[in-house]
Amino acid sequence: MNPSLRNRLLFTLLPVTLALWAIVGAIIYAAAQGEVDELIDAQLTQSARLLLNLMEHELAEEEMAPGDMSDDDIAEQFAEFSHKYEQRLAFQMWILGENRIWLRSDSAPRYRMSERSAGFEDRAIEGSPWRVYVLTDAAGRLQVQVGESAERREILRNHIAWRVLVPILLSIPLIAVMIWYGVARAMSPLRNIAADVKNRRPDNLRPIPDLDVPVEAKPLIDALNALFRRLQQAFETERRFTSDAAHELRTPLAALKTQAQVALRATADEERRRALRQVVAGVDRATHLAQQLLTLARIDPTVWVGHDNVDLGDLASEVLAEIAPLALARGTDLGLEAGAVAPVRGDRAMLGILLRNLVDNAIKYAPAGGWVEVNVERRGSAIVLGVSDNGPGIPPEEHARVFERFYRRIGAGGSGSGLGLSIVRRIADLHHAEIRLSAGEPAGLRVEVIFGDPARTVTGQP
Amino acid sequence: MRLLLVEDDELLGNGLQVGLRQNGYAVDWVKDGRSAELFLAAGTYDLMILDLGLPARSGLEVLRTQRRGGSALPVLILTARDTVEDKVSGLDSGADEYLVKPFDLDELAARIRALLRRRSGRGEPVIRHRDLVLDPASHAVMRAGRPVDLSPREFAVLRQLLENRGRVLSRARLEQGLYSWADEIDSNAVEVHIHHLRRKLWPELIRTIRGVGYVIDKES
Repeated sequence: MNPSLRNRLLFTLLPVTLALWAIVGAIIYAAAQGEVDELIDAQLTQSARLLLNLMEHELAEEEMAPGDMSDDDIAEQFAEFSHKYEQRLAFQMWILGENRIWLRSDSAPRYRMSERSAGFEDRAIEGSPWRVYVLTDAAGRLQVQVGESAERREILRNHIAWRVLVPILLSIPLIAVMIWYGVARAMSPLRNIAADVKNRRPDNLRPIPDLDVPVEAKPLIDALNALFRRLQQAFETERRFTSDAAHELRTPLAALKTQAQVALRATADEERRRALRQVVAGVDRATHLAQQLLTLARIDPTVWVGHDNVDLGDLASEVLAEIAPLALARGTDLGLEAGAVAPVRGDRAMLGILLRNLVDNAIKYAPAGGWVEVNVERRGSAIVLGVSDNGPGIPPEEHARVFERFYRRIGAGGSGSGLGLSIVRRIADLHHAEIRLSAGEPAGLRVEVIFGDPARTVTGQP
Repeated sequence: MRLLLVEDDELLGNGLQVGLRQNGYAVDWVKDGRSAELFLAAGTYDLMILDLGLPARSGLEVLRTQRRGGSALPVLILTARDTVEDKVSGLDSGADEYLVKPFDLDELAARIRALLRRRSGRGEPVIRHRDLVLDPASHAVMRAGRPVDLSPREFAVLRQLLENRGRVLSRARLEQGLYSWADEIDSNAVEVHIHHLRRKLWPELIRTIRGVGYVIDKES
């Protein structure tokens, strides 16, 4: 199963988001807690001050009219302050001189909640935690102690915690849905491209439009388009080659058929024999053409076939030995002059084909009784394979064209395949060798295949 | 009938030349566009068979130049190019026929006959003159329903005269229809053929216009 971008995003983004929110929540919670503490402390202080004022006031009145004051009045006044958390709030009003409680709430114990004379104290009362604030009047006569059960704070804290936590928890599915949707949206151009490519006919290699493609996916699309372009070129070359080949086969086939029909119709024996000889020559020629086509098709520039160390001198003497009978038959003087040179890195079989084609051509164009000279020499760091003949040569304006497939020169008689030099060029290209045509001395053609520095090995796919 | 064959392929050109000669045509064969133009300027041809992929000057260039120069010469394109566009551009450039390689020699011969027939303004494949019937396809001549035995050259002379009834054809013109440039011409060959034709058919068929040539009169 391929990794899913969506899942990956979900499983990375979600925990990260959650962790982030949890941290934020914790900070908010801690801050809120501080606020709560301060708020409640302020409340306690305020209550204590209020109660102390009341006490002073009541005691002063009591001195004027003692016994008039009931506890209920104060309790009533205090009720408003304490109704909600009554159970958790407590106060004591002490007359210090007499060491007696003047007044206390029901929730307050009879003993001092705090032994301090002023300020806050956290302590356990009747087994549960309390926070007590003690306020003593300036004369040190009256003291108010206000306590609050820690439970109340706990409830408030929990309350705040929940308020923070709930949106976080609620947001988990929301974030998941948003990531899911966001990924789907971000991927939709890719999905469209996939659908486009999937529905293509195999010969449709037009580039994928990259207008709505996300920047992140662009390198992929660019690479795909580059591949499409190369494929298109390869297909184009292939198609042109096939079409050229089929095209080139028509003429020899037409010739064969015509000669055969001439032979069938001939009334004189001599005429029939002549036509049949032409048929045989035609079959030879078609065979040669097929052979050359196969050779050319096999030299696939994308597949590198071998890298031998090839001694061009050895190779040349081998090839010339093979061709010698043809040269003898035409009365052509064949010569080889090979200096001691470093071997060339490349494919021996292919280099043999290259040399054979060059020498074949030279013999074909050299006049009967002419000469063909092959030489291998070192020139600087390069190794040069030269084939010269004393034929008619090729005018410079045609030098570029003769390497085109099926290009035949006037006067070539149409007996060749028109592929020989294309093959030579393709093989030379594979070996990163350069081909130079020049006029021979004193006439004719000299073809040089120049192999670069032999130390620099031929590049190509192993 | 004299044809100009323009074909750069050695083997095919040779086969066509021999094959068309077997059909009784005089065939001049050239291998490139420039030579074709030279030959067209120098000789009289009844038809041209033109390959398109030629060195020096393409077949279409040769054809267009001819048509621009006002030539009405029947032209049959014989090529390996088989796409519809190629055929359309060939015919639109002035070709009368378009035949794709490889072809059948019989079909080529039939198309040549059809072109020549159309040129002479005749609809019927055979040529009739009084009780004489000449069939260019089978090379047969019948007189009053009975076959007449003629040599290929006698047939060619008779055919030329019949195709051009009412027009006087010079000896040179008749010779051109019999021999291609490569052939050696026997100086009085045409006279000999005319003589044989008069003997085998009837003497008054072919009239001699002294100093000009020969003619078969139109039927009145």
